Amino acid sequence: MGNRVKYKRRYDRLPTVLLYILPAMIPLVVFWIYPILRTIFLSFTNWDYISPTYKIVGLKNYLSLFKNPRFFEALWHTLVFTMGTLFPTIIFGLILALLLVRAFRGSGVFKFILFSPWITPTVAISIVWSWIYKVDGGIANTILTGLGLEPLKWINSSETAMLSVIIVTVWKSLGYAMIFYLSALEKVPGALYEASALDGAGKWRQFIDITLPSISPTTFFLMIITMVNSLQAYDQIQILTQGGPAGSTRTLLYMYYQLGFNEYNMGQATGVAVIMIIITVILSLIQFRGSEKWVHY
Amino acid sequence: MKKVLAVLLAAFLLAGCGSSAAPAGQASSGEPVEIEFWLAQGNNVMDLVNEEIKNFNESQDQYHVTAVQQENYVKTFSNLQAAISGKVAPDVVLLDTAPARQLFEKKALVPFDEFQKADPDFNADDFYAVYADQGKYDDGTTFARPWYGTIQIAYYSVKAFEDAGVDPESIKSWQDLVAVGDKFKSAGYQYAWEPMGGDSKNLIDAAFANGAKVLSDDGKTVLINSPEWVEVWESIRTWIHVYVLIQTKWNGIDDWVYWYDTIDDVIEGRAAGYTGSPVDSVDFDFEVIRPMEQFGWNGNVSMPWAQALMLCMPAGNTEAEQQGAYEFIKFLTNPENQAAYTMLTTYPAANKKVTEVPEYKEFLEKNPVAAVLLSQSEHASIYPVDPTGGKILDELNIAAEKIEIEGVSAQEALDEAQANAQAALDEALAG
Repeated sequence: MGNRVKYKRRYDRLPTVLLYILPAMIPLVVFWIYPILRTIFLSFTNWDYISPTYKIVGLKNYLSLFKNPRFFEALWHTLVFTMGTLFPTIIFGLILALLLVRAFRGSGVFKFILFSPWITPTVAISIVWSWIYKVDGGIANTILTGLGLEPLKWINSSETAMLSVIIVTVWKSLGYAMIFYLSALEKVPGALYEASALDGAGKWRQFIDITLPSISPTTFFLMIITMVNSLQAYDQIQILTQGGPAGSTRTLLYMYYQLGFNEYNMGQATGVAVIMIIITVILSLIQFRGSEKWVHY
Repeated sequence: MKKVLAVLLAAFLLAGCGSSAAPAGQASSGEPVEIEFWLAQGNNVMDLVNEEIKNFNESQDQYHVTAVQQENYVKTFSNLQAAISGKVAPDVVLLDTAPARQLFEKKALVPFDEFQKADPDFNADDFYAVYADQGKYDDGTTFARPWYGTIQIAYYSVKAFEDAGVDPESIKSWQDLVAVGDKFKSAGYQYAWEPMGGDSKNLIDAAFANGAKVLSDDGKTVLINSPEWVEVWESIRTWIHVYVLIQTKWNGIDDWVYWYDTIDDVIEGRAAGYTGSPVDSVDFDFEVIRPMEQFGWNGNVSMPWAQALMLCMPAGNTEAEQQGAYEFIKFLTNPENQAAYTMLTTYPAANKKVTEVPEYKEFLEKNPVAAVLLSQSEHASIYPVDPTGGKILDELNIAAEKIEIEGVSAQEALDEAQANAQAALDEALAG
C-alpha cells in the first residue's frame, strides 16, 4: 500500500517534470537522438541518397565494409591520428600551463598567442600550414636545413603526411588544453606543496604526487574531448592532403564523406558512421574504466 | 468539439485535394508556362545565360524561362534530389553525366527521344558523338543533351621549344617528347613536361591512347592492370623518378595551388609545357604559351577522356512544362548560342555546326585553343559508366599518386587497384 502511494506521487509529478525538461528535450530529440537512430536504421538499407525508396539489406553494408581493405586502412589511420593527437596535446598542453601558471611580465600575451590557434578556423590554419610544409622554400624545411637536418616531404609523401596533419592538429589544440590546465593548476591548494616541502619532497615528487592527482579530473576531461575532436577531424585533412597521398591520410570520417557524397552509397556511409560511434563509445568506456584508478575527484 | 474538429479536418483535406488537382507549374490560360533552369556557372557565364534566356523569352510567348544559379555541380545534384523528393523539381537542370544517368535509372528524368522525333530541326549528327553518346543509355534512349564538353589539352612554351630547337609539330606522342627531353634539359629547363596533378586524369588519357580499357566488354572485369595500362603508367613513373624528364605537382591542397604552380613552371621557364584545362588559356598570350593536342602513344593518336555537361529534364512536371524545357534546351544548343558560350568560356561546344557561325569562324582564327579543342573532340574517349559509383576511378587516383609521388612500380600499384576495384565491381553487380 505504502509503495503504491509512493509510485502514485512519483507519477503525479511526471507531467511537471516533462514540462520542465521539454525545452531541452525537443532540440535533443530532433537534432541528436532522432538523427542517430535514423543513421543506425539507414545503415541497414541500400539507400542511394536519391531514391525516395530503399530496401532493407540487413548486415550487408557492414559485411562489405569488413571485406574492404580500404576500410581497415581508414580505421588504422583514424586510430593513429587519434592517438597521435591525443597524448601530445595533453602532455604539451600541461607543459605550457606549468610554464605559464606563474604570472610574469607578458605572460598574458603568451597565453593569448598560444590560445589563438584554437579560435582560428581550421581551414585558415590548414592553408597557412600548407605553405609552411612546402617542400621547396617552406618554413618547416628551412628550419630543418638550418639545423643541418635533411628536409622532409611533409604532406607530399605518404610516410610523413599523417605526421604533418597530426602536428597541425596538436598545434591547434595545445592552447585549449593549456587554458584548462592553467585553471586546474591554480586550484591546487598551495598548502599541499608547503606541507610536502616540509616533508622533504622535491619539485619532481611534488609534481607526481600532488600536481598530477589534483589535476587528474581535467586530464580526464581533456582526454575525452581531444579524442572525440580527433575522431571528428575532417577540415585539416581535406585542406592539407585530401586524404592522400595515395590514401595515406584517409580516416573513417573521410571515408564516410566519400561513400555518402561522392559515391552516393548512403547505406555503407551510415555504416561507417555507426562504427565511428561504436569506436567512440569503446574508447570512452576504456578511459572511464581506467579513470577509476587515476582520476581523483 | 470533436465534431467541429472533424469538419475542420475534412475541409482542410478537401482544400488540399483541390489544390493538388491542378498540376504544379501549369499556367492558367493566356499566361506563358514558367520554366525553371538550374545551373552552376560563374557570374560571367550567368550574364550570358541570362541574355540568352531574355532572347528566348522574347522570341516566343508560350514559355517564360528563369535561371536559378547553383553553388556547384555537387550542390546542384543534392538540391535537385531534395526538389525531386518534394515534387518541386526544376524543368531544366545542368548536371554531370554520372548523376544524370543515375537519375534516369531512377526514372527521375524525362527521355528526349519523343521530343526529338517530333522536332523537324533535330539531327543527331549535328552533335559530337563523344559528348552526345554520354547522354544515351545502354538501350539507346537519350536521357540528356550535352551543352558543352570539357577535355584537357596540352600547352607549350614557345620560348622553351625555340631554346631547345624542337619543332612543336614534331611532337605527336609521349615517345616523341621523351626523345627530345634532353634538349629541354640542356637548354636549362628542369622538366620537359608536367602532366596536371590532382587526380589520375592525364595518366588515364595516356593509357587510353595506348588502347587501354577500364572494363571488359561484358562489364564484369576491371582491366586497369592490363599490359596497356602498366606499359603507360610504368613509362611515366620512369620518366618522373628515373630520368626526371617530367613531373607532376601534388601538394594535396584543397584549392587550385598545384594547378597554378604547374602553369607558373611553364611561364617562368622551369618546364617546357604542361597538360591542363581549356579555361587556362583565358589569360594566356598565345605568343608565349600555345595549345596543342594531347600526346598520343607509340604512333597511336591521343584519345583523352572527354566529359560532357548535360542538360536534363527532370520528371514530374506537366507536359507543357516538359515541352517548354525541350524548346529551351533546343535554343541553348543551337549553333549561335553554342558559339557564344564557347567563345566566352573556351569549353568546347557540343554542336558541330558552331563552326558555321560567322563570329565563331572569326574567333577560330584568333584563338588557337578553339581549333585544338575542335580537332581533339574528334578523337577522344568516354570514360565508361562505373557501376561501383566511382570506386574504380578512386582506385586509379590512389594508384596514380603511388606511381607519381611515391615511385611505386606501376604493376604493383595497378594490381592493388585492380583487386580492390574488382571486389567493388563484383559487389555492385551482385546487387
